Amino acid sequence: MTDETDVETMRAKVRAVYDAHSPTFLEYAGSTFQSGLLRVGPEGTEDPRAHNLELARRAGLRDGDHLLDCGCGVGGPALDTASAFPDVRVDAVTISPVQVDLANGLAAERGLADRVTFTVADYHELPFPDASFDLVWFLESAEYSWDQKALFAEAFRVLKPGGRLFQKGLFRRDGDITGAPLAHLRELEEVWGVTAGLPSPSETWGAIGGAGFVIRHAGLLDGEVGQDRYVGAMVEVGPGGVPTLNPFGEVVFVPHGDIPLCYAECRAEKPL
Amino acid sequence: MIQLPPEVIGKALADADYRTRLFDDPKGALEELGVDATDDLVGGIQGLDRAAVESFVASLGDAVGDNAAG
Repeated sequence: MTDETDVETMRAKVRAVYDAHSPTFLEYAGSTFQSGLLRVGPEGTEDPRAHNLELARRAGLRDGDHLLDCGCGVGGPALDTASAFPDVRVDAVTISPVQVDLANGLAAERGLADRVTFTVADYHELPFPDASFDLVWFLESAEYSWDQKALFAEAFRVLKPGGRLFQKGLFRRDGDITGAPLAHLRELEEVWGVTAGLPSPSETWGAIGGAGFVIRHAGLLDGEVGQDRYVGAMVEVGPGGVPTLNPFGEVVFVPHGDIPLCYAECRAEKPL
Repeated sequence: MIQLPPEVIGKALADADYRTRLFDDPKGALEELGVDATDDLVGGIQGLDRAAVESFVASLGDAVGDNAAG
């Protein structure tokens, strides 16, 4: 059991990371704050909008749905989705006030502020009534949870009966990790404010099922996801044509390739 | 300072074959990723210091590619 002091410490840590990094992330990487993008753009490229709309398809989004985006970043997925589905309404929450400010600006620029609402909230304690949403998704965000049991119970609460849950994330691979890879994993978690350790897919899927959801699909995304855009966003070319890490890369680049990571997705339903 | 599209930089860092194509045929390599090959962009790539790029890639070690840390 985590006491309230610990919870506030963890909230503050995640908030601090994203308050600090979000303007730079937006400048260099764009409005979709995910490290791995499905290679579903033209010619198999990593196109953020195509990626977001493919996730919406996989999530089973239908026009007319009320969508909750938990851990929304600065709103790229929510805004891409709303622009493609004219009858979808989106509520989106993040623990970072800076992200909400940036997201509101982007929503206004795209003329979507009437259908997409960004709110500062802890996704373990959502400010919405029971049975409010048709679809709740977590796109590289559930990793930050310090209590996945509580997290998915809260998602279950705010979903309508028959509503859908979709989660796409970065995980540590199942199995024991020791030695240098473990130390490097801890380094990665520290950089990104992952306060309770990066979960494995089976841990997360277990938490989803444990909350009462019926899992319809759960699987790894090996080979489907690339990080070229994310890594490229960390680099700039200086005078003389010499590449260096830019301010974003200097903060977030983790110089290790031995961490056993994977991407995975899960689609589940709240029973009727 | 040249601001190259992140998907181009990332692909070039992770994929040695693509990096070669980028240096040898910038226009074709950009179009391969669906990026508009403007004169400025092609000029920017032609201005890259090839040795410095290879050195930078080497400095990243195995941290770039499909197993790169998030």
